[in-house]
Amino acid sequence: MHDFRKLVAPNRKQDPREREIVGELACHLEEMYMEFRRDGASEESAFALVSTAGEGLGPTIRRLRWEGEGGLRTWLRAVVLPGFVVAFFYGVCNVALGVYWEYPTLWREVGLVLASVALGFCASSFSRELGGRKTHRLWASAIVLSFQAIAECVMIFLVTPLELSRSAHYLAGVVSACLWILLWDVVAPLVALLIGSLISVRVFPPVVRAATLKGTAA
Amino acid sequence: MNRLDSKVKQGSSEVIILTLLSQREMHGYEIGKQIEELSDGVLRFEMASLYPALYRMLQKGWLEAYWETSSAGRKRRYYRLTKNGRRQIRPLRRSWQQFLGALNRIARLQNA
Repeated sequence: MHDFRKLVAPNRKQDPREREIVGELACHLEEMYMEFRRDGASEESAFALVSTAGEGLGPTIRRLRWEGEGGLRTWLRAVVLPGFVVAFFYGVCNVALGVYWEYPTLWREVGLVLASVALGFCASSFSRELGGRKTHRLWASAIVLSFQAIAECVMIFLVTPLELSRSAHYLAGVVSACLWILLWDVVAPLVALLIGSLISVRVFPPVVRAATLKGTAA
Repeated sequence: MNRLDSKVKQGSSEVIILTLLSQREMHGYEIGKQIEELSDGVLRFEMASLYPALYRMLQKGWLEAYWETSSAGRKRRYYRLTKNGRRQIRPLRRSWQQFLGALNRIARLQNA
C-alpha cells in the first residue's frame, strides 16, 4: 500500500498535533484511492489522481493547526506579531521623515499619513497570511502605532500636566499644542493605518470557507 | 424581518455538516462524499474547505472526533454531534430559510 502520509506532508517535521492532522488527511486520500480502484482505475492511475488531490496541502495543514489554537495564541500570531514587525518599519519611516523635515511641516505630516496607509496595508496582509480574520487584520494595523501612541499619551497626559502644575502661565498654548500633537501623531496615522487595512481587506478578501459549486475553483 | 446575520453566508458548510452528522457518525471523506451525492454533484467540498470547517466546528464544541479502527484494520477519524451542535441545527436552518426566501423574492428563482 502507498504511504499517503508522505503525499500529504513530505519532508516535514511533525509534532503530535500536526501528526494527527496529517494522519487524517492521509486517510482521506486513502479512501479516495480505494474508490478510484473500485471504479476500475489501475494502481498507477489511481495513485496519480490522488497525488494531484494531495498536492499543496501545506497551507491547509497550517490552517487546521490554527483552527485548533486558543484565542490568545491566535491573537499573538495574527495580531501582535504582524503589528510589531510593521511597527519597526513605522518607526524607521517616522525617524526618516523627521530627519528630512527637521521641523513639523504639512509635507512631513502628509508623508507620515501616506506611509501609514501603506504600512496598514502591509500589516493587514501579513496578518492574513498568518491566518488572521478581518478583526485581527484591523487590530494588527492599529497595533503598528502602539509604541508611538503610548509615548505621546504619556507625554500629553502625564508629563505635560506635571510641567503645567509648576507654571500655569502657558496653559492655553500648551493645551492646544498637545491637542495638535495628538491629532497629527496619533489620530491621523491611526485612521490612515485603518484605511490601509481596509484596502487590504478589499484587495485580499478573507479565505472563503464555504462549499464550492461544481465547476468552480476550490 | 430581522436583518440576516452576516455569518449565514459562511455557515453554509455548517448547516450541511450538522444535518448530515445528525443522522449518523461519519469520517471526513464520507461527509464530503455524502454532500456530493445528495446534491447530485452540485456541491463539492475540497479537502481545503471541508477540514477547516470541521475543525472550526470542533473548536466551537459543536462536534467531537474520535479515532476508530475498522474491521479491515484501517484507522479513521469519525465525527459526531455534541448536544451543543444538535442545538445549532434549528436556528441555522431558520436563517437559511430566511436567506433563501429573501433571495427567491428578489431574484424570482422559482421562475428561472
